[in-house]
Amino acid sequence: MRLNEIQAQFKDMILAPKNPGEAFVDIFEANDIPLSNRLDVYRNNVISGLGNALIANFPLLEKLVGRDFLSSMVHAYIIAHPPASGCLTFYGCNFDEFVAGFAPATHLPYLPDVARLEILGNQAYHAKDDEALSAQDIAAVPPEKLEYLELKCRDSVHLLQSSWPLHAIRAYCLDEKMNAPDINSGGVCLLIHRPHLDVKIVEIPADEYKFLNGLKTLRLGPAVAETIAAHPDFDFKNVLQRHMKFQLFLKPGKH
Amino acid sequence: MENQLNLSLLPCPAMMATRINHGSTLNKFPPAALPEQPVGIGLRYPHYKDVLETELELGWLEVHPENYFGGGTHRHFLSEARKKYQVSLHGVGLSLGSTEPVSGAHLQNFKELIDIFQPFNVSDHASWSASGNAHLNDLLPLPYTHETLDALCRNITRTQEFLGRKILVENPSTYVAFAENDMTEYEFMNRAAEMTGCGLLLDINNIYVQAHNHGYDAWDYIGNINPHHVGEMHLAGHSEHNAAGKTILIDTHNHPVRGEVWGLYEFAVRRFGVIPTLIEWDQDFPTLETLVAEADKARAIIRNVAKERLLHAAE
Repeated sequence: MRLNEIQAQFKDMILAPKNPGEAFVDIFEANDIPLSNRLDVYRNNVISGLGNALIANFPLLEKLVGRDFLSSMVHAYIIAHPPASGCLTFYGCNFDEFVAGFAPATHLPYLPDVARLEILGNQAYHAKDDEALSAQDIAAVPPEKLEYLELKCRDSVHLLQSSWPLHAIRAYCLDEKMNAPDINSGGVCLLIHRPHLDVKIVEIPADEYKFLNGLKTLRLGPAVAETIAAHPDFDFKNVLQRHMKFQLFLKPGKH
Repeated sequence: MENQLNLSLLPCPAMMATRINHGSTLNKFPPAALPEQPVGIGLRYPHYKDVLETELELGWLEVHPENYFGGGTHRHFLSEARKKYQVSLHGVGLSLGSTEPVSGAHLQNFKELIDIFQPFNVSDHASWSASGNAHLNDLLPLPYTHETLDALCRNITRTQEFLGRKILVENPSTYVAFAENDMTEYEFMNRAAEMTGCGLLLDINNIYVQAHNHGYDAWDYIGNINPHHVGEMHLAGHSEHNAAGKTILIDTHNHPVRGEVWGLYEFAVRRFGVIPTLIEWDQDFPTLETLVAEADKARAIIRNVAKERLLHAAE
């Protein structure tokens, strides 16, 4: 058997729940330790190694559904979506979509958004170390050019809009003493960012969400105009000051 | 069997408030020299703070580069640790033994770390993990054939050319052997080094584990490795498991180094001389003191062998 076939079949053996065919078994040397036990070492290494790595990234889900249920989702995910790269840092970045389609979890419709929150938190945690735009950088822009400014968020900044009270769900998961939140108490807009080493998760009003989301594609002037059109009370100056304090924006030209 | 060698698990939630070094991606460390003290330990997340805050008689630190491809906490602690120690970058994600070429993106990330952290050694394994669109995050076994040797050497050469430096390639722990092997593992390793100019990272525990699992002589394996190629050694603890009444050894990296493996290491030091040696521990983490005590044992063996040689030379 050629090396690429051996590797493809070995991969299938690890990811498939059934036992490998006889032709595959014959490629290994027999010895007095049964082959099935020896192949199981590889299966366990891969599945539990990846499983533990993923489970560690979803402490809120673990709190909500328990270790066993989360394990079963994670194991099904690994089989359906094995890692595509040799670096696992961002493995599981579509786990929320998988959870949304996981039949045994459909009675918990807020789970995918909780998963998304944890994915974005993990992405912020491992985001690259870029430099924040400073107040001096903004001050250096001539006033007549401000509206053309391209304010880009740093690599660690993420936005999440949910129709579930994610912030309250998170607080409940982190604090044993809290009562369970009312799941139907309304949605939330969240800003996830990492000014230095610690990831911050902040609830933001809908106008701030629209503004920051608009900056992904628009220059400063149009982003503000679009936000004011939808939210006439949008206090641009205060919001920008707050975002500068959060160090949300990328210093241009250095990355 | 509940066991796994957890290669790249990065704990995320327990975040420590620390000042970030914004220059960490821009500033470079001075070029590496071989560490003065030959014995180092694998730097893992639970020991970050202790390693920075304690004065240790340690030669160097080794990390898996894949855990530092991003920024933030991990990169920050590696920067701080590099100010105190020489480091070695020990890859687990290149999949050198795949028929497919090593990923260019992975190499690019690896090179960026090398440029910043200036490691004295760079290594990965004689194994595979990628096939098709899946990367299985384990050190999977290779048949020791001419076809495999060619595939491995192509990837080692691609890696060395991209990184612009020699790498070391480590012998894996294996639990299956292939019926159609053309050569032994030590022949395979020696030839890979001869064909590509790479060095060898000999994992003494892996040799012991395999020798047991496949029924060959670990001392004979070491006796047949060309000393010229060996640039680093690894030591770790394995675990014993029952498999239908037989014992299978698994390279779990969650125990102290076993007595027999220390014996094999002493034999290796006599054969290969004083070369950088690493204590690895990857799950069920002990205190840092325990790890350092393991490093002390390795250093004592190196000292004893050196002393014997001096006495012998004086006679």
